Amino acid sequence: MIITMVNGIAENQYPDESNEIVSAAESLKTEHQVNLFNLNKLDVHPCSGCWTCWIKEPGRCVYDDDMTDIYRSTVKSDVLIWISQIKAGFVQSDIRMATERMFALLLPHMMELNGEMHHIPRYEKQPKLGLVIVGESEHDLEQEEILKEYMYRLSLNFNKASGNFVHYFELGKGKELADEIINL
Amino acid sequence: MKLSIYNGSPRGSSSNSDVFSDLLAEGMGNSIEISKYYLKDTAKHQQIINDVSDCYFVVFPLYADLAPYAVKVFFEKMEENKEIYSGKPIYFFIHSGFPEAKQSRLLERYLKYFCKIIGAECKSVCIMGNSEGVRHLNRTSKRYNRIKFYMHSFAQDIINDRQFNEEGIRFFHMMETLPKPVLFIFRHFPSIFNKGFDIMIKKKGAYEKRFDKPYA
Repeated sequence: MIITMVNGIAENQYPDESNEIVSAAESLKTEHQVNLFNLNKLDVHPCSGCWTCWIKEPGRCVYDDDMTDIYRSTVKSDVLIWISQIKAGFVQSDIRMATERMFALLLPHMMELNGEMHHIPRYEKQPKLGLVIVGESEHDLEQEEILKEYMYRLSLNFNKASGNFVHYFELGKGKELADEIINL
Repeated sequence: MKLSIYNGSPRGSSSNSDVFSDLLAEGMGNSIEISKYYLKDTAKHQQIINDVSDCYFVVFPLYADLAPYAVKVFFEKMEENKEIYSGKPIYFFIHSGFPEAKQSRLLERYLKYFCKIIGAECKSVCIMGNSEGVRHLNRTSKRYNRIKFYMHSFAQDIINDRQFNEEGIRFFHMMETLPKPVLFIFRHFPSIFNKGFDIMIKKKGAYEKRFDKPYA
């Protein structure tokens, strides 16, 4: 299995949780290929809404930045994992930035899915999606429901709703996270 | 009374959002002071927040099932400065290229949740479907003038500290989900609905490579 992990947590925040998540990723490497990207060390531009990737240079983002490596990993992956903290009640903006850029991996064309219009994946491989939330051991139910609905809606576009999860990470439970990724 | 208009579109001044915000401002007349800001330049966010108003109008497109990146960055800055927004009314106008309002319901829910977090009053959320191309509408067209009429009515709602009127909400809402006959046609003949994209791709001379996979 190939797993792409995109970590939005800055180096100086949640160091214990980050170390444990990295260890969980390392433990998966014995049997799987894990490509871990730390967003805070990468140069990634926000989507400008120019539609170059949809109508001018199909499939290719106008920015040739570090997102290119994440694209190349994602289109080969079985699972794509986002690692984020919560800010303003939702996934942090850095992770949102990378998520928006992922629309270069979709066609502009639409298909019907679950009675709604959705974009068609450009690539054959459609990774299942996971969201790992750090630092929210005492989150409220509404936040969790919103995030679950969000991941479901993203998966409608990215993998035809074939699989997604939201995992609230807790210290000392790296193995549970690794298991959830494998069993997705 | 003072109103701040926040335009969160990544396209900034050449966006569909700009059409809506300009029409809203036009409908205000000279009755209130208005500050208008674009959120795409995140470096200016603190400066924008420091210009305190009595109420706020936020407009942006649905983007990857939520708000565009710059809007999310701005929300994080608003959270850091939540005392400024505490108890104040915020009106949201969110629009998308999808015809169905259902696509934007999660965002609507999040906006209400976000206002709760910062202690602001989520006064109204208006969802508009099929908004792509509004900026290209002829100013004399029937559609443009209906949009203008209802944005002006929303301006009056803000001036009078009311929620957006139901008639305007219904006009922009269009449909919650695709009607069954439309869904049937879309399911079996999707090319009819996708023709617009193909025309745009052809115009750019990229039709032959429309299914390219450059990152494979």
